[in-house]
Amino acid sequence: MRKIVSALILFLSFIINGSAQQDLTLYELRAAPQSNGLNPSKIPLCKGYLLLPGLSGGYASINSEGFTYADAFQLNDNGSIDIKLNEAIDKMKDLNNISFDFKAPILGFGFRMGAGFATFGVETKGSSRFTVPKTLAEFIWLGNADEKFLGQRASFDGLGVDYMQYTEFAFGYARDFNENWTFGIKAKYLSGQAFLRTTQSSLGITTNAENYAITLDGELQIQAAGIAGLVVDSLLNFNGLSFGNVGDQLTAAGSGNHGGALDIGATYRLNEKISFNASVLDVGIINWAASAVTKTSKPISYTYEGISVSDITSGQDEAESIVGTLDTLLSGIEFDDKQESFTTTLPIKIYAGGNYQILPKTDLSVLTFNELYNGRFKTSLRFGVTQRVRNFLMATLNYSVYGNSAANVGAGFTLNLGPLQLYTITDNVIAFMLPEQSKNFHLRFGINLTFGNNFSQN
Amino acid sequence: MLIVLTNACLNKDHFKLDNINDASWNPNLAIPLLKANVGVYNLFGATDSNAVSIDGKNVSLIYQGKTVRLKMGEVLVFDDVTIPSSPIVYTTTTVAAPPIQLDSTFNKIDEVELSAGQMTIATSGQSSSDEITFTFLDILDAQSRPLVLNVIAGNTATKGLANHKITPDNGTIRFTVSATGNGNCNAAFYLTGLDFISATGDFNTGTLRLPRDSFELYVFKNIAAKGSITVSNPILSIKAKNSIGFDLKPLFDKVESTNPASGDINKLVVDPRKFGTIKSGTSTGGVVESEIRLDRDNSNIRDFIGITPKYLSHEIGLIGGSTPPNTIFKNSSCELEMNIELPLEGRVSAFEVLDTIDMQITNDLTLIKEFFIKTYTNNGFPLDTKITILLMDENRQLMRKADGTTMTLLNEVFTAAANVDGNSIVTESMIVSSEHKLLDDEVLASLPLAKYGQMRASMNTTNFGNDVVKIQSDYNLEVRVGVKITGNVNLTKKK
Repeated sequence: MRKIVSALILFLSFIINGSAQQDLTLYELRAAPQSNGLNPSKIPLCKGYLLLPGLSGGYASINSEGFTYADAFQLNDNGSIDIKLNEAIDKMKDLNNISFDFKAPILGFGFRMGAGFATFGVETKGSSRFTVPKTLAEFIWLGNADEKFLGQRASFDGLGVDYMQYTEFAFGYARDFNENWTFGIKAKYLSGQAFLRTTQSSLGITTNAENYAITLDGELQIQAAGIAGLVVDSLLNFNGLSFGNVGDQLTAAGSGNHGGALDIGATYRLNEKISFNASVLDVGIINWAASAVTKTSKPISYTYEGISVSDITSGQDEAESIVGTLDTLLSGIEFDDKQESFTTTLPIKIYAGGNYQILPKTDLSVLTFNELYNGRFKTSLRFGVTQRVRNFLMATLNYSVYGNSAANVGAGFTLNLGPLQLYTITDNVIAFMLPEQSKNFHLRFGINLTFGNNFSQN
Repeated sequence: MLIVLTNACLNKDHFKLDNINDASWNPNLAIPLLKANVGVYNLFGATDSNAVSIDGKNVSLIYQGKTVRLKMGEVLVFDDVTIPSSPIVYTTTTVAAPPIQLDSTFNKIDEVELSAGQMTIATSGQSSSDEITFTFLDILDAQSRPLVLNVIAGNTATKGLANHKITPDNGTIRFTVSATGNGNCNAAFYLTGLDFISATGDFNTGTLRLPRDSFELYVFKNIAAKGSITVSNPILSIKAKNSIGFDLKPLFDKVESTNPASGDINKLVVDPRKFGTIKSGTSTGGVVESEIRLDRDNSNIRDFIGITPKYLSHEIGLIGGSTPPNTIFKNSSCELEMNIELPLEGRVSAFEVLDTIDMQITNDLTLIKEFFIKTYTNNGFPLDTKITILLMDENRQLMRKADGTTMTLLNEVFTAAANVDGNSIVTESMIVSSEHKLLDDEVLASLPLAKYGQMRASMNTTNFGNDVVKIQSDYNLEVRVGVKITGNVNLTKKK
């Protein structure tokens, strides 16, 4: 029990700290072909490469905003640990995003074509974001009868989820147009597998101080499509999936959602020492048509007042356990369904930076990352240094500020042993050194196959 | 590299889960347990909501007995008449013969119109084949002509009596005899299968008894053994539909109220001078409705009801109430329906309503640190109210402590009666909200075994049940019960 609770809080502390990952470190490791995915104009430092599923690793990041493990588990002077969840919850923001992102390459290759470089890649990407109001954590921790909530409306406005998963088929090409300019472009066909978003959420629970009647009120709208649409529709409408054709249903729901996106990038070399670069990624849309549904709740105002003794002496009971109170409240929500396709945009990412070659094999760099998605704008700033050692090692170290954290030190390296390229990258190495106080967790590692490495090219 | 960094820098003490000090999660949870809105239908008509009658705002309980019926076709029955064979002398001259004696019923009847029946004359011992003519002077056909039967001496003759009427002469039928010759023979007379359409005569003699009936007074079932309801002006009414051609006076000598719990039995005593009769049907046998009401002015009905009887039984008698002669028809009847009407105005003490409710609260006491019961009552009745909740096990049996007393979750939470004006009408409901900590360790320890609760609402009129109040149709008692639990979830408990 102790280990389970502690592990759970450790997990929560990671996901309740930080913000979305930006691959700030990978951006400078041009030896890793994956860096081309962040700026199509960054031509890989090899004549060709091959990425294989599983072997070439993947990307995972867990991010959020809120408290750390050390906030919840405080080491006291006696060397023992005190659980201080209430203090940890106090450190949460009003709305806290909890994100989990992953990328899993299925296949990728690229090769030099004269002054250009062509790439092709298939990759599955998923991003999920849960928005948890601080009030919800307090409500769970303190209970609805706490003086903070008794007789008051506990507002869970903003509570929601945002999940999108798709597979992209990317065709890219980069070319040095002259000694100063390199341009790159990547066209992507997108096949959506799942989409789920809470587009409106203003739920609240009020516990009457006089009689403890519990009222759920507010409005809720959910958009879902693909596999998520199928699951959501089954859960909320209690349709269930028929066992006979679950596979067929999932396959149908996971296909038929088509989209496209474009990445563009440019690098400008002012002179041999100074260069500038920028990219705009994921400018595109996905049209969600398979199992697409928009569920809009009817105005919610449902009060659970306890077992209704409608006929006090009839001896007929309405047998309803108090344990089912929450179920009763939630089951009171009725939805109107609109089963029409809809279109969503991708999170648009913008990188812009500059490099200064302070030594023949050493670069200093500055980079900003900006993301625009669903009406929200996020930005970050990174300073880094990158060292090349012949054609077999490239390593980078950086400091970045993003989200609510100014204590992020990123590190990464690529190590080429013949055609085998080992790489490990993290945007926050502190998370591994001081996980109890860390606000970000991010890791890329794997093995690529690269051919004709040449780390000296610009 | 990351592994090296992690191993080098990680403060392992901070992750030694065995070093976590004991900590618990103590949320305060408030959960509504039950709600009840008790109106007059719920309170007084729980077992039989049909009993509640509302007239404007006035509320009465009306309990109805079954309809009992007295049919004249079953009361007035004519037996067959047999006059054994005896010698008669006949001549060509008409002479009167000794009359035929009918049964005693005919002594009170002036005239009976027959729908069926037959007259048979059997002769024997003849000395010739003379045709003998019997003329019955008191049996007339539709044209008021006497019934005539011709019989060949030594033979038998029969004639139907349908559409004939008998007008008995002091209970006899007179007849004459003549013949085509002179002689003698033996003659026997049979009047059989007599049925009637109507009868006229004196029916005031004797008492007619209606079938026995009994019915329950459900409201008194909710009275605790020591409690009572005193209704200021109960009424016992007899609703009659009478097509019998004369007035009827009911007899209440076999009307009883019974309280099996106390063993009390009360007889209804009436003052016959102070109530009327059941009205006669029309002269053509039509139905006339009438009602007799017994109240505190013409009966002992208050005492009769005062024993809070669980049921009432009756076997009402009827005697004629009109000056003879009266006419009755075979299909005439008298239907009676007895009602007890209890206008809800009076005194109540220890009026108790019960209900069993599902109230499984917890399976694990270790999860509970403190336990409170929250009650909210909005009492719109002019009755002091006490709410009690007792714990019941999975078999719906009351749970008991070691000393044999019942396990009480909530003990007699009191809400005063609503305020009333000078006419005993409620002017303002009484609201009470209170919180009660469950302190009894034995009860607390037994909560996991409690699967149901028995809710008892005990009600009294004010001044210890002595004040008279009036119940109106819009009165309501709202009861809410909730529980507030301080949880005790050990976050570091070792398995």
